[in-house]
Amino acid sequence: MILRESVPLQRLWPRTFKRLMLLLAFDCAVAGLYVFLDWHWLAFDALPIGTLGSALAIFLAFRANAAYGRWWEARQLWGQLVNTSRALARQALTALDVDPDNARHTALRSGIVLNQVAFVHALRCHLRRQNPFPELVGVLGHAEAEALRGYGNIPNALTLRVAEQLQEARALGLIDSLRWSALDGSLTTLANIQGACERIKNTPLPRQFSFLPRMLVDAFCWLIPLALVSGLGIFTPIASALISFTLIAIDTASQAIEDPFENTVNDTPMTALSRGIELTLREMLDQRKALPEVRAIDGFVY
Amino acid sequence: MLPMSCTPNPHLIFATNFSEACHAAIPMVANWVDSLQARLTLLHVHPRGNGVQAARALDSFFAESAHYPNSERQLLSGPAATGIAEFCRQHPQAMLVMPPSVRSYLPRPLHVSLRTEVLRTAATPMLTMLPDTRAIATQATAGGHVACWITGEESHLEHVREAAALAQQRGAELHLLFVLPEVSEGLMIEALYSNRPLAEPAAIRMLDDIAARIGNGVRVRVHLGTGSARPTLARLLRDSRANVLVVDRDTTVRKQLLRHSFASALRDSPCLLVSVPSGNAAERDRLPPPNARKPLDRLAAPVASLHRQRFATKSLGAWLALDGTGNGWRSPLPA
Repeated sequence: MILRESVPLQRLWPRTFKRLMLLLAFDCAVAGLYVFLDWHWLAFDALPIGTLGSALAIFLAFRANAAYGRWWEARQLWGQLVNTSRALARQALTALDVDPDNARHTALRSGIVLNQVAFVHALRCHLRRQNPFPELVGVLGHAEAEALRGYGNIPNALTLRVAEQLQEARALGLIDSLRWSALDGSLTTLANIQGACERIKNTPLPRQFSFLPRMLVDAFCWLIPLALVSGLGIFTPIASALISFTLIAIDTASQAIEDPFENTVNDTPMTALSRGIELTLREMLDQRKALPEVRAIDGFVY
Repeated sequence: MLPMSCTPNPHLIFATNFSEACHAAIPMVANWVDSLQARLTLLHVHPRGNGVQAARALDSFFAESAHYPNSERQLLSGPAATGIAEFCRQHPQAMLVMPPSVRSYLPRPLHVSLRTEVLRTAATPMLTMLPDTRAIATQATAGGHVACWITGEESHLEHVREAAALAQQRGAELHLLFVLPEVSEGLMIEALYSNRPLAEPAAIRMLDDIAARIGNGVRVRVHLGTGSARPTLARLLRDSRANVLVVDRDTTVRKQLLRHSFASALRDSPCLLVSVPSGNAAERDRLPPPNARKPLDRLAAPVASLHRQRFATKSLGAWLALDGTGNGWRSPLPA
């Protein structure tokens, strides 16, 4: 996620320069032919092109809205994950009738919270297609992390493991049916959050929404110099390039945010959020491990 | 010097400037840490007087590695290339991981690549990749294919040893790649000053000899192609389905008029690159003279490697039968 006030233009340049350079060459050719060779038939009436511009604006706004909708939904889901993780940890620490002198009871209670920490990290890795095991070894220990290797969907396996721990707590008489039901509800919420994140990850924006605006932007940019050249003459490339850059930049920016789990600067800041969740949950466990917060680097936070 | 992959807990040094390319490389590094059970050092070299901000940034970069069993963060100050090279000199058994800088697509006539500078001077192998690193993030943690490009101009076999060790460690197949030049008048002149094989029989003999030196437990395949290096190498890599390409450092870095640059032949490589420097002269495995007319004296091959030896010989024989056009080698083996 980008936190800095201004986005440097060189960030847009790699994605836009090929289209812009081609258009600039065309603009210069049109202006040169019109001014120096008197090819006045090149000039179009600006009115129909203006109408096309209005239609294009609707398409672009629609596409930008759809992309932003995905990005914002992803952020909301991770906000919900923060809340649910805290709620589950609180429930585990207060709803279980644990005998503080019984090591098995206390291990069961803290195990639920640590599995929740592992779930958050595993979900982040799952969405970014990253290997979670070196991290899980640090959170859960070697044996417990290795036991997860057989699973394809690690976060789901971790929710199952917490559910099994709750079942064990119920068998030990640490929890009644009513409280078990509340805790299981939190696990269902976690499963829903994971499912929604996977939906965003695995379902791209409909290709028509990407292709049509892009094609229309290109067509419009090729027509602009023809509409401007009779009025601006040799200065046509300047105005045309500026208009083209604006439209291409909007198109590119919405492309960049449509996939919020791709390990780029436009991502939902999952690393920072998962570290925040871990710090809070460890505080609740009274395990103040010396982990620093994840801060923005040069205005970018991951 | 043992290949990095042969050490019990290999050491990866991830040199970072916190760029997007470094962030994009994190899944790949996590994969390597897991598959090799490696130690990880995150290294940042900052300009003098910028320590506090650099320390804060280093703490926030690759934050998940704080949980990795053997990981540490190292902050140095001074010139970046010198600092990284010096740190590598202190850890000769490590492998340096260094992603490329993000492409700006703007003209940079005076730009000197930090990666190339470090590559030229570092004493350890370097793992690097193309700017588009997303394709490699999903590679399997084990198995797969390791390729080793042999140009015939190398003076040692360190990179072949490293590739073989890596293939063994990952349970992967090892592919030896060789690109023959197109037949032209220039070849007659090249034959005067170059020792590299210029014809198929000499290339086969050299690769056969190299394959015979590789240790037990690695399945070896040989790929030959004819043409200019860049497209032919890219084609061979595609055919071999390699995840990792191991090359000699002198092949990776090319000297130009005023500076050194990354070899253009490797710019289309679709996989990770491991560039291996030469070890101590005394430890080097000398290449055989490829144009030698007499059969080379060979050490008696251990029993376990005989299968592989026969396998390689059979493949090369099949190549002669299959591809008489000289357009390349078609594997006669099932995929």
